[in-house]
Amino acid sequence: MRAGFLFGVAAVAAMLTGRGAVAGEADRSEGTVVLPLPMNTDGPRSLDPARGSTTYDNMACVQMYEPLLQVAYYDNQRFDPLLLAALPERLEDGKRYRFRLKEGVRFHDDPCFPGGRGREVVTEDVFYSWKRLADPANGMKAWWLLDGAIVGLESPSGGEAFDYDAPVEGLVRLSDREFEVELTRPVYRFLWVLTMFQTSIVAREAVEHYGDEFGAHPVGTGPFVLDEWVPKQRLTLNRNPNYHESYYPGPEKWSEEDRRAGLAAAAGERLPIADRIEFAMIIEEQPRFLEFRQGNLAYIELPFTYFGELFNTRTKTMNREARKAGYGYRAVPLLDMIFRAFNMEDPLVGGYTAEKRALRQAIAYAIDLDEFNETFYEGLCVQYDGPIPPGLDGHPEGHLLPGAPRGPDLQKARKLLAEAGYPGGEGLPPIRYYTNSSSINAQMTDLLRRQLGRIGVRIDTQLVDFSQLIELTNKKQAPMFSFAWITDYPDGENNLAIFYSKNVSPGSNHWNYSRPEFDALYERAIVLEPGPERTALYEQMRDLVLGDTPVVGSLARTRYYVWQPWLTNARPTERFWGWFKYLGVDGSER
Amino acid sequence: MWSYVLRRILYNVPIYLVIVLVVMAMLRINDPVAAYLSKNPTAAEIHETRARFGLDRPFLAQYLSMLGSIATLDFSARSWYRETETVGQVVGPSILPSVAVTLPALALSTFVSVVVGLVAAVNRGRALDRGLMFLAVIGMSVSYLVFIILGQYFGAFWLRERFGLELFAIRGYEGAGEANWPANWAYYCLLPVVISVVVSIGYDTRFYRSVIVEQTTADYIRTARAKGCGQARVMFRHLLRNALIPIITRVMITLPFLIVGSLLLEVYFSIPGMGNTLLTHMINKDFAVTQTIVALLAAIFILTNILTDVLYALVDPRVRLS
Amino acid sequence: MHPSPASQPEQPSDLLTARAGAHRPSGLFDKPGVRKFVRNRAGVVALIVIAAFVLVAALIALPTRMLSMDDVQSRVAPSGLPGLGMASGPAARTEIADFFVREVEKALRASEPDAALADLRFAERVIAPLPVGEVRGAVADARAAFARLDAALLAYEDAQIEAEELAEGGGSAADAELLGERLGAARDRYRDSLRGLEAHVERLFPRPEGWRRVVYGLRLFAGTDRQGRSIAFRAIYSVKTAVQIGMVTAVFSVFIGAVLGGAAGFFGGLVDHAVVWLYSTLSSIPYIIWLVVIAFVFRESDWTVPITGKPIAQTLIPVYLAFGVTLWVGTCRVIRGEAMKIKGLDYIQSALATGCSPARILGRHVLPNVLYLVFINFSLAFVAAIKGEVILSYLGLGVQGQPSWGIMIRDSKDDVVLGVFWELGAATLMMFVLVYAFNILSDALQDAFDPKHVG
Repeated sequence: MRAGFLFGVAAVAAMLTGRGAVAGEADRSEGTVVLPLPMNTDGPRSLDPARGSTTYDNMACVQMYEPLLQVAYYDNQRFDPLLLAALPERLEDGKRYRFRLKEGVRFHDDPCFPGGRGREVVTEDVFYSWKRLADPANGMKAWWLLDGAIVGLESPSGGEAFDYDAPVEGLVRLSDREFEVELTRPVYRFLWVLTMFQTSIVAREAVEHYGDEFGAHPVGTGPFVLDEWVPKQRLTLNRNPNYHESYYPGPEKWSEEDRRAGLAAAAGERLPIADRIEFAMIIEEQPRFLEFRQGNLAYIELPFTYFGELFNTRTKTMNREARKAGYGYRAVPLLDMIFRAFNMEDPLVGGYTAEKRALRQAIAYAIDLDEFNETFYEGLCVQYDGPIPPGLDGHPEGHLLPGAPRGPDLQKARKLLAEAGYPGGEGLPPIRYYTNSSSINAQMTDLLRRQLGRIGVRIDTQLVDFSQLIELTNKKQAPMFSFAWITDYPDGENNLAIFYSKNVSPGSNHWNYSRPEFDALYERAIVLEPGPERTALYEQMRDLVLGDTPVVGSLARTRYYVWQPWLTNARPTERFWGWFKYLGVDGSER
Repeated sequence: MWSYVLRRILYNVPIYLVIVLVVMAMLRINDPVAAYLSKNPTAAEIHETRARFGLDRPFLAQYLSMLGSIATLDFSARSWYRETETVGQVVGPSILPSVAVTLPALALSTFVSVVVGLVAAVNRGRALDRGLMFLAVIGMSVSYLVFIILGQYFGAFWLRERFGLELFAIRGYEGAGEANWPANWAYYCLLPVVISVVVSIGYDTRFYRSVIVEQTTADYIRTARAKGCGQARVMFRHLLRNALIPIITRVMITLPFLIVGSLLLEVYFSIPGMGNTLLTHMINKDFAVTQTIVALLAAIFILTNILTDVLYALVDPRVRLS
Repeated sequence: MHPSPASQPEQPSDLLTARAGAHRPSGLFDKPGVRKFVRNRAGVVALIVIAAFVLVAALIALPTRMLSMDDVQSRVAPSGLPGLGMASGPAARTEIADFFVREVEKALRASEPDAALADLRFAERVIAPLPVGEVRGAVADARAAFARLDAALLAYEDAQIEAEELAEGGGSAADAELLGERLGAARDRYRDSLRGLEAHVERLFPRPEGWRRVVYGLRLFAGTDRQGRSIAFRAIYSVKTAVQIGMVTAVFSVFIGAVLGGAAGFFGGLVDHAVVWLYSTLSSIPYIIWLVVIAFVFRESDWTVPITGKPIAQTLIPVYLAFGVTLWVGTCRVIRGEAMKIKGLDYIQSALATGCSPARILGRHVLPNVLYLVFINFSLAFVAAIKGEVILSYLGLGVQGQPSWGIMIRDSKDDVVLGVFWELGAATLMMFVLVYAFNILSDALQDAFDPKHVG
């Protein structure tokens, strides 16, 4: 009787799960290589690079659009030409760069072009795409990348429409494929900016043809074309049959370790390797993890909660389950700076006197970042001293500097607190502390309150919306706050810029740090190319910051990317998202 | 009859107008434009954005225009968060998923509760009745969220782990218009529906039981029995028909609450319904969509009110004569 | 028995009263409803349970030393311990050992190691009072034990994988036997190294003795959460939060409902229309929508509470407001109905004519008849508030700074899929008992006092 019942249930189940053709299944014929990939939110908000700002806008756009340069897949600290024939030529000690576009780069076929056929990319397209960032009608979310960088490229302030046809002094057309850019200052980071998806090349015809709908009708040069986008539900892309000649990096590019991992096996293959990408938008961690374990996602950025399911939490190596399943994995260190910071202009906690510094350092010595690491990040973060994340010039050897104000050291903290004039915390009013609201942050704030309570420092916590948090720090109204700074490109300069006095609120210098010595060092460093001279300057700046302690930090997250045994050529990174074109599927394993 | 209907409509319409007024005013207490442009806007930007969204008109103009757009079902204003879509394009597709969960839940829970209530009422005082009511109270005493968490765990995860049964989706939704929609619906929506039913069963069963019990002790039932009517005949011909009035009332009243209770379900199961959309857009300061959805929800509730009054009048003639 | 004249005392039990002679005002327990209620055992038990919860809440709220914020917010043990003293698996035991050793290492890195070590404690479990040098030695020994353990684990896992592959692939009996021996040996080596490691940890951090052991055991009764805090104590502390929210909401809404209902019933006319219209309007929209909109409005604002200066968004005021907007309707309807009913009675009219205040009439004549309904509405409001708090906490709009069941449920929801039910279970159970008691109480009140109610 029970067997019969179970059989009945199973039969019903089979009927219910017999979901036949789904949209797009016509493309999933035998032999099509399909990549089912995860998105951790409900998807991009717009497929227009000029309007994108989040990781997921990035992830979606960069499959269909391409910037001039690309972070190298085999070495994430370098960049390669993508739409250029070669790396740009550096002229006048870095004040001018000469570019030569690659031949044979075409836009996607689209009705906005005459005859529906995509045309070749020319200099004017580059200028047009960059000018769009300055146009207020596009929301100016990415304007900070080029603001004040190129001579003559400015955003109109008076509310007038942007004139795309007006010539810009710093954008000099030499021919259809050659052009020069003149910078206001010879800053090296300009080239990194050109790897970012917001500077991707778009077609003017498409923008004008689709108008307001352009964000849903991408026409780019990328390895994939849009198949279907149902916002918040589904985003699918098909291979671009007209993708310009681009090949998987040869074996000489890869490191020894990568070659052993089989990453050079596809050398010389034409890109993109897969035929189709299907993004699954899964916001909750549990369902995402389960889908991966069921084999329905090609890879997953393993949520901290599930680290222990596949890894030995102490040794950080795969456990028996994972080894048996044959997963591949890579620990991807992020260029993160998770901090707790002070407003240096705040009357209570800010200032450069010995007492104020003692107060901030007392707080720094009371905070136990290791406990944060173990409790909320499974111990996966790297704790380091200073503002420069691991892997970059200026990062301390071995992550830690002796003598840096790093907790937990309650005795020292209490001493310093007394030096600051508040023995045992007496006389110190509660410090207002802001962070953005999320359930994890609520718990982290609890922990912080407890840690500071051990030396008698009280905090008054406010959990606010992230945009409100930024607004408050912009208005200099937050005495103490916490969020994370994610470096945009692998150069420590990005992390030091946020201490430069010219960037005070409402700029990126959220803590309003201002020291003339620091500024002088910074101005010297940004025009140098990477090298020992520059690294020495970075280190000096780092030490200044540590001494003044406007920031208590830092933690850098390490994300573990785990992929199915049938996914090939995987070397996940978060520095750029254009690596999906390298991924392949090994049919025999599936 | 029609005069009654008219009266009810006239009575409810001012309520609706006031609700919309109050909500619109509340949402404007903190300047929505400033909240939206949080990256330190210049005065020019604020001004330009305000004009672009029509917020520089006097409040009355905005109020009337909102009412107008609801009346004519014209939602071509642009969403602030999903910039490529209009409000209509954001809200429109969200209605069906909500309905796909709410209506079946309502139907199923009403059916189950009435049946269980009937069984309990008929067996009043005996072990079966007591047992069922005990379970009902237990159901009423556990938080909705706990039901959702446990439901998702057992319904989706545990079944897969232990039996390999992929009966229910862990999350997500695939809409009507796709092929194979009935099976898809079961896969994506059945679990949330079942959870919703389990949550409401406690309350509903008790209510229906008490309604039916009240009828059971009524005089006319005793008369019928005395006349020799069989049990079943009594139950169905007399009991249920008279219990129909409070049952209908109850069903109509719970409908709006189901729509809203599904807010949690939608968020947890990533179903792109109205509740989920409202929450997302509210968090992202999308003033246009927030305002529209709340006004729409209010309209649904008012319409339900009117409908309830009308149904009530249809079934009980005493009402419309009052 | 033959019928006796009505003026004579009817039952012998009234003899006492008759003997006493004087007129005795009818006491509480003479009311038929109350007697019926008292006979309902379930109802009485429910009442006692509720009283117990309220008592616990009061004890926590008042400055007794019963359960302090420190007890519920500070770490008492490693994170994620299961409750009821259940033995953990070897992986968990390794993690626990790692936790204690790490804490000691952190203390040793401080500028004054002896002071830092002296400070090191987890509730009743305190570090052994050894000199710094010995502690360093013990830590080094422990780390060596860890290395041995890792090696043993690797060997064991490899043997296991091979065994599984053999079982799937099929091999000779001799192979199987050899593998079986290897597997057994590896397992024993692993277990021994784990025990050795734990011995080192015990030396550093001995388990408490005597009554301290009992207290510590109580703390760990339901396990620890992600931050190593005592789930049991947090669940109990949350009683205070729940009672606080429930009380304020229920009292507030019943009071408002009674006042408005009474006014509507008595004064009639415009007042009545206004009140009826008001509650029709407000209750057309379920409280969740009000909640979200009100919370949204408050969160965006910078308003502060007048005296304390605390930002309103941080207090529970938005929560109370949202509940308050919808929960007063039940009471209002009841009071209004009753008020309207007796308004027409002669003696009420005359009382009003002679200048008796409506409030007094409300209190003396209206209220007693519907008191049970008011209580029932009170229970409903209380329960709605508690259950609503859970939802608010999930949506991020709820209580801050003190533990509550909603916060515990929200924090634990992701752990469920890992098979960890302790935090969810403890919070749900406590809430269940209180809500269940209220439901039973409402039922009992209904049974006892409602003349039309058929059970």
